[in-house]
Amino acid sequence: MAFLTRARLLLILAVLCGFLFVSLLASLYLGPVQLGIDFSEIGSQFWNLLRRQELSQEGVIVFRIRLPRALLAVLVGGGLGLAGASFQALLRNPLADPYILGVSGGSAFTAVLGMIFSFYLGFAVVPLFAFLGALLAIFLVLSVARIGGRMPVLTLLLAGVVVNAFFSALVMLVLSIAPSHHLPSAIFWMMGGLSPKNYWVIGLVGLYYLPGIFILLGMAREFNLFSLGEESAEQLGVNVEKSKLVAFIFASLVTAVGVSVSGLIGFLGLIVPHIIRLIFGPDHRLLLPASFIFGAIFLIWCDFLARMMIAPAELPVGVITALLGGPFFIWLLHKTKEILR
Amino acid sequence: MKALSIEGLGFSYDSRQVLSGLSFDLKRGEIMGVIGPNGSGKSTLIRLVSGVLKPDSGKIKIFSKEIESYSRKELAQKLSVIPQQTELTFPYQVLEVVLMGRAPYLRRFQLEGAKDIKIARNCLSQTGCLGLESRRIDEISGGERQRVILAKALAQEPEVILADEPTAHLDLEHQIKFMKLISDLREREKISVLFTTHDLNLASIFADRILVLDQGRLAGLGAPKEVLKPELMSKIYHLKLKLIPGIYQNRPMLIPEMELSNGE
Repeated sequence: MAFLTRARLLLILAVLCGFLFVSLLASLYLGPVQLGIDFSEIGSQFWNLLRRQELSQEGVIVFRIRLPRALLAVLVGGGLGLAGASFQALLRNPLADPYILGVSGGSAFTAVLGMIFSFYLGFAVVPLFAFLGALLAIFLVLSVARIGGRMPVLTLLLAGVVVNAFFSALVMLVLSIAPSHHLPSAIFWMMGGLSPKNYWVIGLVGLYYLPGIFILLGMAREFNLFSLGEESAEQLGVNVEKSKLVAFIFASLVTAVGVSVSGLIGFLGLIVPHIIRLIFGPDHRLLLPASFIFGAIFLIWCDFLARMMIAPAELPVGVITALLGGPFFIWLLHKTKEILR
Repeated sequence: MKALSIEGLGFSYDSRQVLSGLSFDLKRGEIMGVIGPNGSGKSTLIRLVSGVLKPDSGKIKIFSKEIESYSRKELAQKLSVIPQQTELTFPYQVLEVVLMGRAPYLRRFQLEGAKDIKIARNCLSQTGCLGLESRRIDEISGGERQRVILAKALAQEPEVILADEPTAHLDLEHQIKFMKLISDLREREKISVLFTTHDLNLASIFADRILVLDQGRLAGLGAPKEVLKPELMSKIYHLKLKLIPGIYQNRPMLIPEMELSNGE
């Protein structure tokens, strides 16, 4: 490991982008239905897609099923990786993650309400609803966890558990009493799934994400300085209160938009930044973009497992990330037990 | 020339008055030790001067300019702060930590350049930490870590260093070594230093002048031998203290008279 230079930053990000590209291509070819690799066929089908002409069976599989899924995995996985790294920096806590903190749970509750209204207002309102829930949840968690001006790791985790349980109950309540035609496949969505209806939804997610990604990446230095403690960060020229507020809002936004399209995908925001930190060190100027790219790669492959494990049926991808994330969390908890004392 | 001047400074937490009517100057290149019992307002003074707290009354000027008129970054270029202890959340390397001291000089999205790295390495060498450059901050000793934090403070290229009980967590060897570094830096760089401590003798050895705080008020200010008088100190610390003169450059040393009375 060495300190960060522009060359090192660009090289690592380029290599990660290479892996992402390969993963994206692989996810188009790999699936329950075997496809031969024929680039000219795929090319002509892509042309047909752009001209809105009839697609062959292979074209439908690649461009109507697999590509939108993969693109959504890139956005949601990347967003959760970035949001996880941001929450960890903000809370000075390597065990933070949007799912563990209850931010995802809060988003899910208001997203469900949004889905009922979206019947009248269109899908675009669902992420906004989810955003409100995310803000509500993070506000609740922070006020519950703060004890005498301090926020011990354990109380933060407990507050997250409680807020999560509470919002899950609310989601179940709404699902039980809402007319079922308003919430098709809501249970599957709750467990985390990547099945966008169309490219329009992906575009919408990307649009909501852009400001969040840009602002969070721009806060990398503040996040580094937070590591020294809030007072030290302040004495190095950071407006701590303002920076925290902005970062909480945009990390919540990114989480909420992800939840509104793909439900509860847990632990990704915990695992991804941790692995990146182990390999490349904790400098957020590299950690944040690298967590986005690696989060995208990670979710593409989790989704591949979800599609393959019980093919032709499929698992919710949230089941895969939770199966991997649960043991990982316990391992991490053991490793960080000094700070819990 | 005044590096720092404090005029009529007052501050209260909720209804508790912590500092009142405090006035003093810190000259350029001067080391001033701040002593006083727990709760006398030492840390609050450091936090006020560093701009983390806003005073209720009075003025704080750095080089004759009030601190409100500096932007946060400008202030961080004039002034750096060394806390008692620094626990980093993540395992940064030593050089990365020192480079954080360059933050006040960099724009958003700007990486540290060759100049910043040269400055950081120079600060590491001044504090005797050059060999630690690529060690993880959580894997070095407490004494080494405090010297790295000093290097970080120097990387800010400050005119004034504020240190809040910088030696509180160090063993005797590292206490002396740390203060010796501060003293050498003052000689070389003409940096002014304001440090708080509970160790009267450490203050006596290393401070040019000592400021005594008692219940938020100025109770004494002057050269060690003018201030560290058994009568004054015994009154402030509610303890009988005995003066041992002429040990170190004729600076006074004070030790408690060891008749630990029962039931008093």
